[in-house]
Amino acid sequence: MKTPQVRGFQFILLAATAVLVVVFYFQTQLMDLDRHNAEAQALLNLKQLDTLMEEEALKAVALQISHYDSLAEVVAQTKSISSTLNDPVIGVYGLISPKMDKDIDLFLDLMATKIDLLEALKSRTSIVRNTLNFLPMEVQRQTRDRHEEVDIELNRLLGALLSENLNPGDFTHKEVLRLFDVLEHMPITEERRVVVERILKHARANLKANNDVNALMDEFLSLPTIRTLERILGAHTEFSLSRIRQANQYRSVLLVLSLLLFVGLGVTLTRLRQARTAAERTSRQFRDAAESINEGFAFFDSDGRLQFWNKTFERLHAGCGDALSTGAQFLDFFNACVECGVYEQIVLGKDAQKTNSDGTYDHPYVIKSRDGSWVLASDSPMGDGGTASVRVDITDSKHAEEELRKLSRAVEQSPATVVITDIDGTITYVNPKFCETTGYSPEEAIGQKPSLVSSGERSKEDYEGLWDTITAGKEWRGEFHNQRKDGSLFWEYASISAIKDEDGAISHYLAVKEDVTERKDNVAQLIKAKEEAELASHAKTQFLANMSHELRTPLNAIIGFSEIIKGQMFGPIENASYVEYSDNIHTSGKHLLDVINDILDVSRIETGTMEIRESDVDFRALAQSCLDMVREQAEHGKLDLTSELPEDLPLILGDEIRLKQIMINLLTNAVKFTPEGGEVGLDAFINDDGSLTLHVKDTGFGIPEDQHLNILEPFEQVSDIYSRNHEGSGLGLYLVNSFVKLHEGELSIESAVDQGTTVTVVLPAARTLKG
Amino acid sequence: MLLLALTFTAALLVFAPGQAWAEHHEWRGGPLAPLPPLKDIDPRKVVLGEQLFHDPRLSADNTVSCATCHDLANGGADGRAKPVGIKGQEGGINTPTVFNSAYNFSQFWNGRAESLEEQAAGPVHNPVEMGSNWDEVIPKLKSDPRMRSQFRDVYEDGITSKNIVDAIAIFERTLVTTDSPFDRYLLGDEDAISAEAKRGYDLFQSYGCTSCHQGLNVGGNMYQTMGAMDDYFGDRGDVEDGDMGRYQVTGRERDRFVFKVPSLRVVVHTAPYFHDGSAETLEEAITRMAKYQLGREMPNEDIAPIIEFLHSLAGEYKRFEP
Repeated sequence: MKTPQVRGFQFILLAATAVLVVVFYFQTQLMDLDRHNAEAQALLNLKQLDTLMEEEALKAVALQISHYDSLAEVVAQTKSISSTLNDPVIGVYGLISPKMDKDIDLFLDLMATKIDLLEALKSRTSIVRNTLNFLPMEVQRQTRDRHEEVDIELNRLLGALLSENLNPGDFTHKEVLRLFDVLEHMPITEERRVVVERILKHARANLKANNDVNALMDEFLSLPTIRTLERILGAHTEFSLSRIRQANQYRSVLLVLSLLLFVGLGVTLTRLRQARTAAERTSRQFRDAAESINEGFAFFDSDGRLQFWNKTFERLHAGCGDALSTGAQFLDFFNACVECGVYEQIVLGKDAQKTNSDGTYDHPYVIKSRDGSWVLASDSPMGDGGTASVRVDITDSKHAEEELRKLSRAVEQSPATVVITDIDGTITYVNPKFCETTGYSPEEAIGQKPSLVSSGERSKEDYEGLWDTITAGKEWRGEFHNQRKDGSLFWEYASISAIKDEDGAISHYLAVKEDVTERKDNVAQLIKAKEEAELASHAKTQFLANMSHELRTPLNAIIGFSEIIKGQMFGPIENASYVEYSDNIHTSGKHLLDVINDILDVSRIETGTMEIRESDVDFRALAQSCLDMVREQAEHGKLDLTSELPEDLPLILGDEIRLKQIMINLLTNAVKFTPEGGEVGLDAFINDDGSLTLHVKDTGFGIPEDQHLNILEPFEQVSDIYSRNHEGSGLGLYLVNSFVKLHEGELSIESAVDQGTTVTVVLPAARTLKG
Repeated sequence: MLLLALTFTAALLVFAPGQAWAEHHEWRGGPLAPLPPLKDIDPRKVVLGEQLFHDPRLSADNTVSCATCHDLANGGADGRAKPVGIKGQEGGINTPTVFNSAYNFSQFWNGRAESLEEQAAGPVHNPVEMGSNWDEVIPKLKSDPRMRSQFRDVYEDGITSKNIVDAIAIFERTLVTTDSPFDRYLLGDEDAISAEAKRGYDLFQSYGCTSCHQGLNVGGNMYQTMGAMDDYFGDRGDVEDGDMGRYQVTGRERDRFVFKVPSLRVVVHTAPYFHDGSAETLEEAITRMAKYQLGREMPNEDIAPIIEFLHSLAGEYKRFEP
């Protein structure tokens, strides 16, 4: 490549040549041929006119012409053309040389003189003509048939005069003068004297005029007008020739320069074509390359207008529609992409800022598109002010990256120990759990063999078996008794397998291990405890079942017979005390049966054999019946029993008996633990979410907060004090809670000492039946 | 350059028509020739020139125009021995006729103007004639809108001294008396002039008048000494500047008392005669011419035919109609 200086020099050379061509062209034009020809023509015409003038003058003097019109015309033409010689516009004066100008001045002077002489010649010639006309006639008339001396002298004078006119000379001139003298002094008559004087007057006039004409003619012809004109013509021609020669020289130079210019132009054009071909090839190659790459590529020119984009770029911006069009401004295009969601989210790098004046980012950035694809973008300014936009579809790698990160996190956060080795068994990765388990840091572990933690209990054969298995690509499972950094031993359950690359070749080995030390220690105890517990539980259930059966059978007898006695079914009892006693027996018996039933329920719950029989229950009717059942007892305790049950309470899907037990229990408890004059209330309502809430409130003693949980346990009552004054098995609330749970509901207690108690039962929406 | 070529060609053409005409119309071969018909005249300039010719604004006090002295109805002259200019001043020399002046080889009695254009400026500046100058005249003409527009129609540069005299000169070229009886005679019409006139023509030639009064304008193409054969001024007395003739132009002794030979084309209309206007009648003029210029005495029986001949020379002036 040429350097810019060299190319600049070439241009200067070309320009200089062009300027020279112009200069030389004007040099060749210095010779104005038209004007030159006109000048030459004028000079030649003048020469011709001058000659003509002399010819005409000679003719006039020789009395060969009858009028002067033609001569006047020649003079007029001569004057007219002469005046052009020093005309500032068309004359040659001052153009060629001072010498020539002098010659022109001289010629003009000579010509003026010549014309004056000519005029004088014309005048004198007229006189000559008239006298020559008159004299012979007059002399002949006056001397006809006379032979006096005077007549002879007159004829002699006429002859001498004619001779003088025809051939002027000293002799004839003197002869004429002599005859004048003779005739003047000749004694003649007065009459003849008049005649002679008239003839002498004309003769003198003739002689004078003729002398004048001869002298004027000599002067006229001696004026070197023609010579001067020829000198001017010569100088003019020479000047013209030199000009032509000079112009021809310039023409030669001009020709050479023009040829050089043509050659220069040719070379320049060739170079230009080569350069254009090269540029086109480069451009084509660039386009082909840009089209063939998988990255999206677009190019904005220095005005920020879109000039080129490849197919990938088009595919990546397919959602933008018309925004991708030649000439689109970068910012318009960018905003259109944001608008249509192709650039839904721009993720800038840490350093990226919108610093460029055209709104581009000066660092690569990541674009998330609405369709979920990811694109890595960069808009780089180019040398000439344009912008090269590159878009790389990184959706796959983004997903892969996500996947990898997830896996990596899984491994990192795994509760199991993960160890990865290369195919030589050298550790290349351990996860934090490994470090936690073994006490080795990753730095200490990586590069070591897994035997780092070996306690050495396993035999060499075991390890060989392990290697055989995993090098065969299979999984090995087994336990290791390994050693921590601090020397303590622990059990690990390990799964070791090979990691294969895409070709199926083993690249790494993966060991996933679990610390099983504790489990190993606990398992035996657990098994034993479980066995014992299972045994005890079963025994208890069996016992209770038996117990209840054994207890209920005699109780039935007691209750039945005491009822018969109380009712005096077989005749009156005289002593009323027996009746009272039997009533006590009956009541106590029934109470005992309740307790036993409760205990059986508890045992069923504990052994998991309790089931609920679901049916559609009219909760409102059920609540009313429960209230009825405790009303007598409440009135007995002088309690105010209230209820609030909306008409629209729905049906409940549940076990009617257990639901009744729940309400009876809660109400009974409330009545039981509320002193005289207190108040017990029941209300129920449907919550917004469709669940049903049941409140049982009292104004009784309340329950200390620290015992809220306890009272839900079996066989618990609040404080011994209450047990003594209040009968009950202590199973009520436990059962209630259990039944509620069986209905997937929740029970809560709100209470404090002397503040009364509110028990809340919430049955889930699934249990309420609409309508 | 083209301009020069055109000028040159035009210059050649100016003479070409006259020559061609003369060549193709063989007249009687004598010293006189018929006036050629008009050719190549710009009628717009004639109209403008005619107006200027009659325009007294060319004089200092707006009283005298060209036509004041060159009365076209009076032989193109004023009929006076000496002209009267502004404020009644009398000029020094007889007014020559303007008719056929275009065929004079120079203008004025002493030939001091070589062209009509040059001549036209003369009286404007002459203190005893129009007594003005272009610096006075041009603003006067320019203040006339009609004049302005007329000039602009004809001349690119409007009203200038050059254009004024150009228009006047072109008008004057139309002041010719072509087609005179004598010209018709010259061209072959034997009956165009009377026998007396023919005899007059013979006498005119034989006396030698045609030595000076020759050519198509019967004079006007040469100079001659007033008193070639006798002492005219000695006889007359009171020699003034105006009598110096061409001497005033050349300063040469031989040009003293030399005057342009006047055209005799309309001489019958332009009495009084001679540069000093001293000859009241043609008879007197012819008699004095014979005496002083020919050195002869002319009997009355010869004068009458010559006068008859002179009458035949005068054609009628026809106003130019393009």
